Formats: sequence, C-alpha cells, structure tokens
Amino acid sequence: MNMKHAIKKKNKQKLSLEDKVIEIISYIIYTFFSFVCVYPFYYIFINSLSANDLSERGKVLVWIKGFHLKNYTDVIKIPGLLTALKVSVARTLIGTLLTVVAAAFLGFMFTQETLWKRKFWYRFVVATMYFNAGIIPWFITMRNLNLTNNFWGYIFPTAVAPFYIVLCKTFVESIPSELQQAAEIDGAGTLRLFFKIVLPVIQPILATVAIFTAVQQWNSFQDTLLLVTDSKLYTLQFILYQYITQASSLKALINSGSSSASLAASLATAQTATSIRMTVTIVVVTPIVLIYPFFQRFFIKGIMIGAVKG
Amino acid sequence: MKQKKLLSTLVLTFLIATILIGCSTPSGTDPIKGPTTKPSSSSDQPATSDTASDKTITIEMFNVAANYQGVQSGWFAKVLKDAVNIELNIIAPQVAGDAIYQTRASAGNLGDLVILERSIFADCVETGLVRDITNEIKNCPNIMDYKAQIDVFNKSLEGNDAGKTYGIPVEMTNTSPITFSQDVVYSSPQLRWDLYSELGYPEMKNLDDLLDVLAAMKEAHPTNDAGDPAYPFSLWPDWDGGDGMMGIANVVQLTTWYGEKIKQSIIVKPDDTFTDILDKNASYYKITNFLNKGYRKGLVDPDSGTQNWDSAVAKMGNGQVYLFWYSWQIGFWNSQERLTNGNAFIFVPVKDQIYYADSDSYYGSGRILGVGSGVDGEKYERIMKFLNWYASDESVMYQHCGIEGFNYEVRADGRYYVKNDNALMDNLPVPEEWGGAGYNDGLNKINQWIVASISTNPATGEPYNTQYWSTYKESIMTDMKRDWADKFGAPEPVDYMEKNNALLVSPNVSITLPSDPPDISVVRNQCEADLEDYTWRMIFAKDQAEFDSMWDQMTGQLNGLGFQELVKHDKEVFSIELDAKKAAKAAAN
Amino acid sequence: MDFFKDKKKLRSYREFLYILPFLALVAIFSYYPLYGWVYAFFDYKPPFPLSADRFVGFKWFISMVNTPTKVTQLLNVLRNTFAISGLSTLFSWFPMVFAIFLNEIRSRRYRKFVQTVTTLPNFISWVLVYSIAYSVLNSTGAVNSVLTGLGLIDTPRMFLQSSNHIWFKMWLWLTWKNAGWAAIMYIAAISGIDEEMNEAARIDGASKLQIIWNITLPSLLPTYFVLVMLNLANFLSNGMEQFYVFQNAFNKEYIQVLDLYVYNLAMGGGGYSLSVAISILKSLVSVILLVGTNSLSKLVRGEGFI
Repeated sequence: MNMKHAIKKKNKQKLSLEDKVIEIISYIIYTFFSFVCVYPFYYIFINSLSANDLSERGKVLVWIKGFHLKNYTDVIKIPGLLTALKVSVARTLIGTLLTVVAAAFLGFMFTQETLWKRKFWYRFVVATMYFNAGIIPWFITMRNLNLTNNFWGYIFPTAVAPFYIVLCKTFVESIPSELQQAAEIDGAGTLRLFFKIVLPVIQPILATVAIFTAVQQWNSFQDTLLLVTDSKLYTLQFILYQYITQASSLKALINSGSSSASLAASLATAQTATSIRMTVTIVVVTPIVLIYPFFQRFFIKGIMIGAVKG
Repeated sequence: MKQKKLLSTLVLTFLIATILIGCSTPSGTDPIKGPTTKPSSSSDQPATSDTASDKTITIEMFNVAANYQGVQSGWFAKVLKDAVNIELNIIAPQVAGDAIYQTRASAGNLGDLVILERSIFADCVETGLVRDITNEIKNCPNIMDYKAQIDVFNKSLEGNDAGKTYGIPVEMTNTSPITFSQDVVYSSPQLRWDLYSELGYPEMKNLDDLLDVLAAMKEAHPTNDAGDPAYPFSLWPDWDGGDGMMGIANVVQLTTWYGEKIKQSIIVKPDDTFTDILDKNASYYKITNFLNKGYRKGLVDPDSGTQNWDSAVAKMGNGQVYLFWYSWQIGFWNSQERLTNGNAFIFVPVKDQIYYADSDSYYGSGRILGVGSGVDGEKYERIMKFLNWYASDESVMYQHCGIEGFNYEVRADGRYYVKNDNALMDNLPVPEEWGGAGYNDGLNKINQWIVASISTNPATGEPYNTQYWSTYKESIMTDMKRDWADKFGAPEPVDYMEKNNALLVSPNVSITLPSDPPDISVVRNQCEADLEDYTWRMIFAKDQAEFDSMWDQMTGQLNGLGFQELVKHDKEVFSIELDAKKAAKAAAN
Repeated sequence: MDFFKDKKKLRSYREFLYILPFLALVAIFSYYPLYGWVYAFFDYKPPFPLSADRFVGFKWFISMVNTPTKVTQLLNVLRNTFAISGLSTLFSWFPMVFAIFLNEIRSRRYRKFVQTVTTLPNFISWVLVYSIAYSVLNSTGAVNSVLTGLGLIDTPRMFLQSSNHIWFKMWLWLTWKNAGWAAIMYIAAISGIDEEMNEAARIDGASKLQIIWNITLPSLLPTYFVLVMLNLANFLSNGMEQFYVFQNAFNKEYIQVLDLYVYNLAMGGGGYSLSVAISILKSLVSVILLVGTNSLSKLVRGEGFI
C-alpha cells in the first residue's frame, strides 16, 4: 500500500506539459458543461421560491424575487402525501433489488457457454426491447394476473430489463477469463461461481443498474395511472403528477360552464402550472441528488483483479 | 456437492415463490402492507352499527369532466358522508389520459358511476357497460323533476325501443330550451374601458374599425404601467384542437362574432345552412385574416405562436393584453378595485356583428351520468340514493353556492347574500365542523351537476349562481358599469344584444350523434394538425398575397388528406342536429 | 467420457432451470400481450369487442401511403427521423469521451461534483425544459435583451419559432439532457478496468493520452459497441416528448419525427388500430436492423453482439 502511494506521488510530480494542457482544457470544458447543467436547475429553484407572476413572465433569472414559500407549503398539504411516499420508497427499494438481481444473474448466465440454448434465450430476452404490444392487451394481461390495484404490479413487469442484462453481460465478459477458469478448476458450480467470483467484481455495473432502475421506479407514474384506483397504492410521483395536471387542465374547468368562469379564472392567478411543476421537480429530485453520492462510492476505486486472483 | 444443490434449490424456490405470490395474491391482500380491501368495497371505519346503511360505501366514478383523480376530500366529502354515507373515488381521463378509457372499456368495467360524453355513452350502452335503471329511477323524486329531459335523451338511444332508462343528462336547467339566461355571451370583443374612453368612445362598424381602435390603444400605450410591452392580441397555441371544433382555438371562438358556429370541419351559418371551414366567404377565413391584418399592423404579440397558456395568462393579469374575447378572460384582470377605477374590461359592440350563443342547457350539456353494469345489491341502492340526493335542492345549494353561513347567508329581509366572496380564490379554511381544510381543496370534484347553476332556484326566483343574485349585483355596481349602461342603453351586454338584434340563440336539443368511426377519426386528426399549422403561419403572413397563397396551399393539402370525405361525414352527422334545432325554433315561434 | 458428457448436459439443463423463472416473466409480460397485434387488422374502437365484420386486413398499413399527400408527409417525417437519429448515432461517442476525460481529472471532489451536476438535466421534464427555454429565448427574454442591448440585432429574434438548424438544436438539447446520465455507464466500466495495468503503464512513463488510447478506450469499446448497435436497431424511435414540446406551426415540417407523427395521428378514440399497425412495422424494422448490425459485427469483429 505504501509503495503504491509513493508511486502515485511520484507520478504527480512528473506531469508532462502535454498532460497539463489536457488537464487545463478538461477543467475548462467540464466547468462550462457543469454550469450549463446547473443553471437550469438553479433557475427552477429560485423560480419556485419567487412570486409566481414574476416567474411566469421570465423576470427571475439571477436571484429570488418576491420570496414566498407557498408553492412548497401547498405541496406539503396535499392529502395522502405520506402514504404515497411510503409506497414510492417501497417500490423503489423492492423493484430495484429485483431488477438488479435479475440483471446480474441473467447477465452472468448468458455468458455461460454451457447454458442450454444460450444464444436463443439471450435473443429471446433482448428482442423484447423492440416490441410494443400496445396498451390494451397489456392492461388486460395485468388485470388477468390480478396485478391491477396490487403493489406487485409495480414490480414484476419491469423486473427483467433486457437493457441492463446486456450491460451486465458485457461487463462480465470484460472480466479476465482466467478468473472463472481458476474457480471452475477448483470445482465451483455455476451458482458458486456467480456469488463468489463474479458478483464481487461487477459491483460498478450493478451500481449503475441500481441507479438507473431506482430513478425509473421513483419517477414512474404511468403504471399507477392505468392500473391503480386504490388510493392506498398511489405513489408520490402519481400524486404530484395529478397535482400538476389539475393546475394545467383548467381549460376544461373554465369551459365547463359560465358560472365557474370568472371564479376559475381568478383561481388560476394564484398558482400557475409552471410554478407547480418547478416546485415538484425540486421536491422529487432532491432525494435523488442526496442519495447519488452513496452510489458513487462504487465507481471511485478501480478494482484490483490481482487482489481477487491472489 | 450437497451444499451446492441446497443453495440452488433454495434460490429456485425463492424465485418461484416470489412470482407465485405476486401473481396469485388477490388484489385485496397486499403482501407489503398487510391486508387491504378492494377499493370498490372498502370501508375506512368498521361498521359501528348492525344496519347495513350505516356502512360507508366507496363508489368508483369514471368521470370525463373531473380534473382530479382520487378520493374526494374536504368539506364536500363530509357532506357526501352525512347525506348518503358514501365515499367517492374519482377516475379522471383528464388526469390519466385517453388510455384509461380505452383500457377500462376494453376490459369491460369503467366504474360504478360513469359520466361520459353522449356519443361515448351510447357506445357503452350498446356494449352493455352501463346499467338499465328504469325501475329504480322512478323512486327518485328529485330526478323525476327532470323526467321530460331524461326521457328525451334515453329515447334517442339507438335500439332502445322499449323506452328503458340508462342515463341522466347533466347540467339540465328548469328554464326552457330556447331561453338564454346569462348576462354575457361566451365570446365577444371586450376592451379596457379606460383606454376606450380615452379615444372618445369611437363607434366601430366592423372588424377594420376594431383594428383601428386597437392600433390607437397600442400607439397611446405601447407598454403597460410597469413598462412591459403590451399588445392588443396575445394568442396561445396549446389549446388548439378538441371541443368538437377543428381549427385553432383562438380563431374558432372569434367566428361566433358573426353568428357562425364551427362544428368539426363544417360551419353552421346564421341562416341554418352548412358550409365547410375552408370556404373563403365564411368566418374562419375572415377571422384568420383579421388576426393577420392585426399582425401586419404590429398588434399581435410576437410570442403568440410559441407561448403556452400559462405565459398568456401571466400577460393578461399584468395588463399586457388589450383585447379579450372569452367571457371568463376578464377574470384575469377585472377586480372590484379596477371596476371602481374604471380600468376594467367590458364588452364593446362592433355594429356588424351578431353574437352566437348556445341557449340554456335545458336538455343537458351533452354529458351523461349513468350507473356501471357491474353494480348490484346494496351498493346499487346507495348509488340511487346518492343520485336522488344529488338532484335535491339541498345538494344543489352545496354544489353551486357552497356552505350556508360560510359562503352565503339568508338575512332578515329573506334575501340571500354572498359571504366570503374570495373563499375559492384564496382557498379560505372552512369552519371545523365542516372538516376544516381549504374551501377550494374540498370543492365538489365531480365538477358536473345534474342541475345547472343557471337554473332558477324556486326559493328565490333567481338562478342558483351567486353572481346572478340581485343582492350580489347591487353590491358590485360601479360608476364604470353605470357609464357603460348609459352609453349603450342596456343594463347588461346581453340586454344590449337583444335590443339591437345582435344575439343569435341556438336552441338546446337532445340529439345523440354517432362517434367517429376509426377511419374518419384518423383523417380528422391529420387534417386538423395541418389546418392548425397553416392557420398559425397565415396569422404571421407578411402580406395579403402571401396569406391567400397559403390558404390555397392549405386547401390543396387538406383535400389530399381526404378533407372532403370528412366534410361529407360531418354534414350528414350534423344535419340531424340542425334539423332538430330548426324544429325547436319553429315550435317556439 | 460418456459420464463427463452427461454431466455437462445435466449442468446445461440445470442452468436453464435457474433462468427459467426470469424467462417466464419475460414471456408473460412481454410476449403474451403481443396477441394485441391482431388489433392492427381490425377497425377497433373500444368498448366494442373484436368481431369478424370489423376485420379489415391490411387497411391500416395501406392507409399510411394511399394518397400522394400522405406519402409526401410520411417521407418528410422519415427524413426528420433519420436526420435526428443519424446525428445522435454520429455523436454517440460523446458520453464515453466525457467519462474518460473526467476520469483523468485528479481532484476527486471536482470529479464527483461534475458527475453529480451533469446528471441533473436528466431529471427535468421536457415540459419544464421548454418553459425554461421559452422564458430565456422569447422576444423579451434574457437572450434577446442582451443581444439588443449590445446592438447586435435590432428586432428580437424568434428562436423557438425558427426551423433553422432545428435538427442540430434538438440534438444539442438531447445531449445536454442525457450526456451526464449516459456517462454513468462508462464511468462504471472504467472502474472495472484493472488498476494494475494503469499503474504499470504510468511507471513506464506513458502519458495520459497514451493510457487513454491504449488501455481505457479499448476496455470501453465493447460496451460502447453494444450500446451503439442496440440504439441503431431503435433508429426509428426518437421518443416524442421532446419534439412534442418544441414543435410549433413554424418548425413542424422539420421537427415532426415518426413517434410524434404517430402520436398526433392516433389521438382520440379511433386511432388505436393504426398506432398498433405502425408499432408492428417499427418492431419489424428494428429486428431487421438488429440482425443486420449483428452480421455486420460478425464480419468486422468476428463475433456478434447478440
């Protein structure tokens, strides 16, 4: 360990001119790109805290104008938020776990030459990426499986995700084959090979799959829209989505009768769909941004194949 | 070896078990959170008494009018619970999208209660998704007040020779099919009174005069008081399409200024004849050209083609727009203070215009309330009880006027007075005994009424709608309104129109038009998209020559997509309605 | 020898049993609902059930091209789809290069920071992206104010209304939104590289570029290659949300991609059958492309990717 440290230090001192130029250019480009990515988010943040009419007219660009917290307090007051949060967390955790397990295991299995009709089954799974049955047969299938108004309706349909399987398979293939061969000579069977040898090594890609799936699960509301009428199974995203739609479907409300007309019109000035959307974005993204560094731990260290081998 | 086998068996068992649990668990038992009951029969509180009617029943309502999906909460939830002991769970295609109709309808169950557009309702009756309520509706005296209208609708259903009852039209009135009870029409030119008076109240003979007036306003006030650029016209594209009219929303509304009404691809002229929307002598051309002339004079907000409705509303509320045409649009600017100061918007007539208006919705607004075919037994009884209550005077007051003592009160003189006028706008907290929470939060989420708000309240002889109460009108009277009334010799815009023969009331009829067959629907979508795109580009045309050449191009393009086929279809369909309207007019005269 | 063979066979079946539950899920949720493709051959409109008299054969497939106007329109839409898919395929290396150079930056904090913030745009919905774009780019927005203030233009530019460079602009938006997110995959792949190889190279005095060229890039190529191939098969699908929010009457001719076209067509009750028909065609094209790129890969790399 000490040796390595020393080598690193030595390397640092020995940066060539070429390396320095590359590093400076990298810093400039990445800083610029980061700014382009941060600013819109910052924009959303300050606008969600600013007077809604100023925000709607694009007057808030640098700093908060007409500070107020009503957008946020209104979101917090939405009934059923807490239950929905629980459901969202549950589906994110369970869904992610299952998808990651499936992706890792299948990604590994599809590299095993011994698997019966390996190529065929791999293609069988991958091809589904390009098929879309349409919404009606999908719904009827879900209903026949009793997965409407059922928590598991959030989990099972997305459990086997071909794209992640491909990612995992590619990653497993990049592991030096000596590793597996050595284990096999030691008499390890398929499962042992997977759990003892492969699983520890493919952590970075599993972290990636986990992030992707978790975000997908966390952000998903289409399935709730169509499958769920039981309010106990509503997810956070669904409730927020509905909150947004309510604000933006004023057309129907206003058009629905002369009586509601002027009242509905004045209602719209209180909160705009955009301000709600911005607030909701901040509310939904914050947890993701907070959890993300946890996953990043899996990327920082390069793995030491040698260490595993030895 | 043994260990390995054990492990693999365990994993396999686990996997299979999870899948089996997932697939075979009845929807009522949630493995995560323990048993929950099906929403359609769940009850939050255990029954406290042994009589069945004391148990709260959850009713699932498929409702195309609602813009809220989920369980009704707040004060109206309490009203529902106290009155008929039900909890309402609304499924709203406006929230969930069209797909929820397609999927649920294909699966054969929309909900316990349904509110659907007429033609769709007819489809659902035909395929057995809606229940026959003939026998039970007879025991609902409040609904039976509207028996005449209900019968007319149900008899119009195809194949219903036996005269069974399936649906109840919503928003029916107790006035008549040719009455027009409102004070304003849905669309008419509305100007800022201060800017108009500054110009010396110029009389406007036609649209060109209107443009001149607007140009003068724009010249005198190129910006609002805060210095933001202002324009007479600020349009928005995101409302285009839908509502049974082709063309862009902003143009479509303005065509009613010449007594014409767009029905999908065709236009009904004031003399009850049809022409198609591409007719250069009809109003769609006229109004598009009017907007283009405005653009050429620099009167159209350059962002009109790209801004969304929210941005447009922000401008209306900020005094950056000088012409309003929807009756509700004034709500974004007018306030009691501005009415007092005389800088509010109000209708100003253009002499050559005849305003089209749909009469009171005596036979209903076109949406129908029905009971799902899966409903039976106790739940069915409760639903009928709810429906009867929903049409009662007590319930109608809740729906249109709010809570007595909070939203209105009856004073010693026996007249009704509005209280807490801002309850909706400011989402005022309702008294604790009504469950607390904001007034707006607890508003009736069904968003549709059996009895329309313009109906006459037998207790007062005035409409239910609080804005039509004489006490309310007295309270908001201002100098500006008096000034207006003096100038035009009428108390309200509609009175002026009637006096000057500038109002064309289209009678309310009860006709179920067939819904689009798939081919027509696709042709319509395609034509509509192109019609809208061309119209927008025409509004921004450089000169008349470019405008006309674009119009001709558009005609060619639409015809290539099968527009004539569409017109033929629409003419056939709407002639049924037109004939009924003619008959209604004849009967009234 | 026989015994060995049998054992191998046994293992091969046992392994199949392990993955069987997952294959069952795929069969249930992805293959079984495909029976719904029959809707493409009917005049289907819910709630009416399918019946023989509503059978229309290939009507919906033909209806897309049965008049010259429609053919022109479809070709137009395909041109846009190809342009935008082509651009993104052409620049598909961007997230990879993004990840590689980011990895070379020594400050760990900075690296983490960049990594986190560049994923942010991925979470902003397209609707919101448009409203931000609108508020910055409208006739009185910040960009126009600055440009007129500097005297560079006299009248405000209508950026969102113009169809100039629209494909490129759409690609820029897409890259802005996805690059940081897609880079995660490559960052993970870089973490999979044997650290000892890097160390060895460094001791040998290799420069950064040499390490990247000789070690990092070759280890990322398999992932990159597979992703590009998978995306190529998706050539006809650009998604529709982005184009939906940015479309307007003035740029429609260049922005309408196939997915958006289908969405616009199939709205309302009657479009279901048509949208299924188009989705079948898309699946067919995808499978053909998949087979094509796979044989290409066999030719070039000596092995297929599926």
